[in-house]
Amino acid sequence: MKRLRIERWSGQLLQQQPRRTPSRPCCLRQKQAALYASSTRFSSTHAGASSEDLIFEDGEEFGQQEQQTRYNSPPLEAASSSSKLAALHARLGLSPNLPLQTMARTLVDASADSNLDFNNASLAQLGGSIMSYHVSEWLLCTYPRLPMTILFAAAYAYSGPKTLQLVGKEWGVETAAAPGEEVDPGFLQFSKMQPGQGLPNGVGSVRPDRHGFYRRGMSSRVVYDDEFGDTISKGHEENLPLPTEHAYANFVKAVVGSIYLHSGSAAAKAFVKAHILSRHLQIATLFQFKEPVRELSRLCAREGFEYPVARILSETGRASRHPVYVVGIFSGKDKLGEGQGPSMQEARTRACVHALKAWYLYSPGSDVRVPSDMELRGAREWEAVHIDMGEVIH
Amino acid sequence: MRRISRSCRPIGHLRVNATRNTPSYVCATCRSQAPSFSTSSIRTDARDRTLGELRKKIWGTDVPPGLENPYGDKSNIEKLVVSKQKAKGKATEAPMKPNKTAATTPSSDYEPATTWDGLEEVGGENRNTTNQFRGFLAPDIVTDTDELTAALHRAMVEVFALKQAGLPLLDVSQTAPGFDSTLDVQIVSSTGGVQLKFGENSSLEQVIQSLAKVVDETAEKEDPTESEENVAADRSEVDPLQTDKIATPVDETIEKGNPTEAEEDIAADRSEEGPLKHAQPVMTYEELFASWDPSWLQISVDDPEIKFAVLKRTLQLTGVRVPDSAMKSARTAQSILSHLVTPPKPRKLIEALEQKEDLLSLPNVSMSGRRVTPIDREKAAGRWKLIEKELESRGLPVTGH
Repeated sequence: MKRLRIERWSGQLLQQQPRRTPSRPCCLRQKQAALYASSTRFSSTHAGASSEDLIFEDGEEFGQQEQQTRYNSPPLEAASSSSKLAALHARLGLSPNLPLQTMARTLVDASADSNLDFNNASLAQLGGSIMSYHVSEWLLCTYPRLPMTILFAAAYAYSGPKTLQLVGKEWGVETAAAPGEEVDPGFLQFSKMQPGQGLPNGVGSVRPDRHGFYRRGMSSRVVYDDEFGDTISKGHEENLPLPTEHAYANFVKAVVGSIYLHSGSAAAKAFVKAHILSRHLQIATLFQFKEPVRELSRLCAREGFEYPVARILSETGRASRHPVYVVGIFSGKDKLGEGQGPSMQEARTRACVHALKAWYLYSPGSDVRVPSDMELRGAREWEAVHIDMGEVIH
Repeated sequence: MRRISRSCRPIGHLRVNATRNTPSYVCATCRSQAPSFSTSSIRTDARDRTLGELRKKIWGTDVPPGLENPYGDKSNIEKLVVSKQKAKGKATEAPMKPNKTAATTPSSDYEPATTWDGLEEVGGENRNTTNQFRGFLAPDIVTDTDELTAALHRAMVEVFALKQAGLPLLDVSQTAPGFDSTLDVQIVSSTGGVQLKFGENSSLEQVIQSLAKVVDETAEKEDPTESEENVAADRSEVDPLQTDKIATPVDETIEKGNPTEAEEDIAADRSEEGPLKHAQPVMTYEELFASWDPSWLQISVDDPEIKFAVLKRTLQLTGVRVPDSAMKSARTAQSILSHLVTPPKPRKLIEALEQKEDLLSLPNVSMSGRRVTPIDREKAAGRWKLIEKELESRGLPVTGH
């Protein structure tokens, strides 16, 4: 589609439009363009010859025949005339400090344009770090006793690629069928995986203990792996086709990164809070206990409580087909939890699970101070938050 | 439903006028299309007899009140008038409308005219030119863009001149538009308000004076009162006692120190060179507009008093009415001008849309000069090159629109 340049219609910009240069204002790109400048001429004439075979039903030629696509992403000046992009910018309520050109760049994945000056790889790296920082500090301060596995799972649920894909789709971002220069900059551009193609498996790992005989424990994940406890593959190639959810995740992270760059850290934090942390996650459903009775007894021993004792609080239909037992777990005179089940064992297990969840899901409140609050001007003195040592047994 | 013909009504027999007062000539069409409602002719005496019997039955007396033939005879008043006229012997030959003769009492010295010489004429082209009606609006509605712009500038200058002089703003439309002395006046918006900058050939006094209301008090009226006569006598230079002295002929073309606008017009009309030539060398509208500070179009007319005065003066100068809805939203001279000037009717939709500045300034609206085809949409989504490739690989023609 030949796009109409609105700025040409209005009389405000009557100065002569700069001729559309084939090179973009980037030294890297200019070098590349200079490299294959000679071949460009040849290929464009070739395209002109093939276009003569076109039959137009309307009898009119649709627009001027563009030169052969040379760039893998839309040019910068297309961003200012894209209504889709402007609508997205306005819909997200972004500051006018953030230019539409940057907004367009966040929508170009590294798999679409491998040039680091025009894709969102660096922005996504920055934004991903900011986002995972805010998510993890909020999770740690709000639920200071979460086990590490639950913390990883909760972080994945808040800022994992699947969630970020949902977020990006809720923003109304659609994907382009194939990236290219002629694509509207308002589309998310990445090279899509073909149907039947296997998921890209990361080759190797950056872990020093990547050999098979090492046990990949939870503590080593904290140190070596990414924010979700997953291994970071070593030789990831940027321009391979990638799943849609990863492209969306990179886009959302890049938006956070661009907000950080153009509007500051406070704006980026507010954006993460509004779009990521405002989502509701039932953390209690993430737990899965293997041996809750033993874990509870270890917990009581660790914390110096009395040994937990299960007592039947009430029961009904012991001789019937469906008996119900209500069992409470007591540590001394304090009832730690209560559960019900069709057998006394089941009821005791459930009571232990409830007691453990009550322990792990302790929260000082949803509006607890987080370390990044200290960045605010005039913030009061930091009081150390209590972070528990986490899981009782590994 | 079949309609019952009117001739079936019994009252139809009483319609004597139809037969009695038949005009002597009936055209062939009327004769064929409107036949008489009765096939048999009713004799007059028999009809009268029937009428009399009917009236007796209705009133229940042998002497019914009213006319003997209420359907045909003249009323009592008409009879009275006719009898009076006959008595005076002055009945006109052609019978006049009875109600008019009843309304006007003929005076004794009334002499009916036989020719139209010397009669008063009402209407027509030869109207009385001394008391001619002059409308508030310009006789011809101005449509030229340049003239409209100049008129708006003039109105703005005059209104702000009045404001600067501390005079009521609505005085601006008191006089008929005469010589335009505002051509080289600049309107400049400054921090203290709107300032007028006068050129070589204009001054504030000149502008104010061109707006002064012309009241010709010394003009002799037809029926002057005594006091008015005194005033006129006091003002006149002619000695009332020496009426035989020949008044010196006044040369109207001589430029007076303080000429009224009408006198100026006369002088301008009589002089061989035009007013523009007199003020400055020949100037096209483009040069004139270029000589003005372009910011005059951005001058605020938010003050309702100023806005109304400007609009009224513009209406008087150009005859173009600005709609009420536009009056409220107009805040600058530019917005007033945009309502005065009618842009040419756009031939294409895109041309119509281009004229909407507010639509163009929206970033999330993009417009296309032609139809957005499916190919356009596929291209914007990046799918068209895939489609082309697939079609070519299968040896199919790349068609579409």
